[in-house]
Amino acid sequence: FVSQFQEDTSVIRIPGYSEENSDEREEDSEGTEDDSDDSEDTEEVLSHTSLHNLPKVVLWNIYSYLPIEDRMRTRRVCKHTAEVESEDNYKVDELSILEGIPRRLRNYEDIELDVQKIIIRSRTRRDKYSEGLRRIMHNTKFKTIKVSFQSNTPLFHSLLNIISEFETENIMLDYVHRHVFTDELLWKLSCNAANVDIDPIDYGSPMPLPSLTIEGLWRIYHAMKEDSIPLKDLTVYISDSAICYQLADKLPEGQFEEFKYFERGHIPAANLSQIHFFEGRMRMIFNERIYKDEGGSLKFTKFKNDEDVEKEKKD
Amino acid sequence: FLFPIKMTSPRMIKLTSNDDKTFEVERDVIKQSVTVNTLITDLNMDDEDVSVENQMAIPLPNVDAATLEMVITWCKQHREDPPRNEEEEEKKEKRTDDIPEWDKTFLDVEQSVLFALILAANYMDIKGLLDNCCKTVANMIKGKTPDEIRKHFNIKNDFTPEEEEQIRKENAWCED
Repeated sequence: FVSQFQEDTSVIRIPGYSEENSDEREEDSEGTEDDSDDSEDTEEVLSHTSLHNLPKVVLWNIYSYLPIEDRMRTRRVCKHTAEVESEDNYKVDELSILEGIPRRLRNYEDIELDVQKIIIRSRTRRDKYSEGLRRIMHNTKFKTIKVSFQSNTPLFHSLLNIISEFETENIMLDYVHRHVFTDELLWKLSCNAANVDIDPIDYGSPMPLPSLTIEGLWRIYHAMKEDSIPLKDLTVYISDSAICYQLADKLPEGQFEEFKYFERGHIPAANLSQIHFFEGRMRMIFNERIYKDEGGSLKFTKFKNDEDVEKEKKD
Repeated sequence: FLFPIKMTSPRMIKLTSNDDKTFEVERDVIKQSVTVNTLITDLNMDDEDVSVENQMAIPLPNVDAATLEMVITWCKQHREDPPRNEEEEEKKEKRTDDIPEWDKTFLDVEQSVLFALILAANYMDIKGLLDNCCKTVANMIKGKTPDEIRKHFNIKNDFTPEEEEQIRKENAWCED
């Protein structure tokens, strides 16, 4: 196709523009004035290039610089902006859902709608907010989702369920009420995230803890081993340390290595007993507090390769 | 003592706009356009030892002369920019208050010119220019109501009242 342009003769030499830019810039805009006049003179509103007919990729690029609130508002501008907005393309580093401030969700103090981060703090039970989350998760990819709340309201139950439906890299739950947190929910999260971390907030005892069963945990361990789920790292606080020993009993006899050691902290309650089990590229760790009967954390890790496993064993 | 004069002048590339004007631009400047750069490489133009007069021009059927002139000006200004690493760009915080001063002034133009530049930057695949144009537009959108956005960009509301109501409902969680 180049050849047909070869006969072109009108060669324009561009003088060295880079030295005196401000003057030349004016020259440039003068050069394009004809264009702009054309589009303004015509009454036909749709003839010019603007948001309503920009290519998708360009609009996406523009949207990527907008806080979510502004991006959502562009959906009401015209059909094109609404259509393009609805398509999957948006990436956000972190979604945080925090409980604590009992104000309206849409107040600025309650909801931080930023390009990189969405933080929702609310105690409201109004369901339209969970619908809002579903909508935003539908075309937004979150790298990390953090959830922190203490109550067991239907709203948070549904928020958590919505989160478990969408793929994300890291899910960090800072404490979830035991009635909300089930085997089924953990399984759903494990199918959609690479790292899942469920920590209790230390509010002193008695601490209500997530209620998970040995069958539920074993199902996840097995699926990680088989690589049938994307999960590579799971940390979960369990109330009954007996679960850990029952899990260890399920490991195939003679095919795993066991390492035990104690870690002495500055205060007696911080003393930990740690047991590491290695089975192939899988590692299972129990962290158990010695002093109080508080249960402990259980960690499953799937290593990428054998070298990583050997390195971990040495450490 | 005669200082040896380097005879090889910078390699020039010819570009033709859709209104048939041809521009000469340094190879090193236009490499910022991925589209043009790929074409030059694919056609092995770098190996050819032809004078610029005999060289074939690269046609840019989607770009008019005025816009192309601006694009070249931008590329000249940014020729010293470090090469972009798209992976790094992905990770970078997305902000709109980091447009360089020169670009800010350069892009302070009629909307029609700005959008022509956007289309050209998109077509010629000049990411730095496209990003700064998009940031400029994003800044125009920020904080405006849908009505204000339509007015600012001279866009018609093509929704039926029912459709508008539907979206209003969907947006209720983040808007008043």
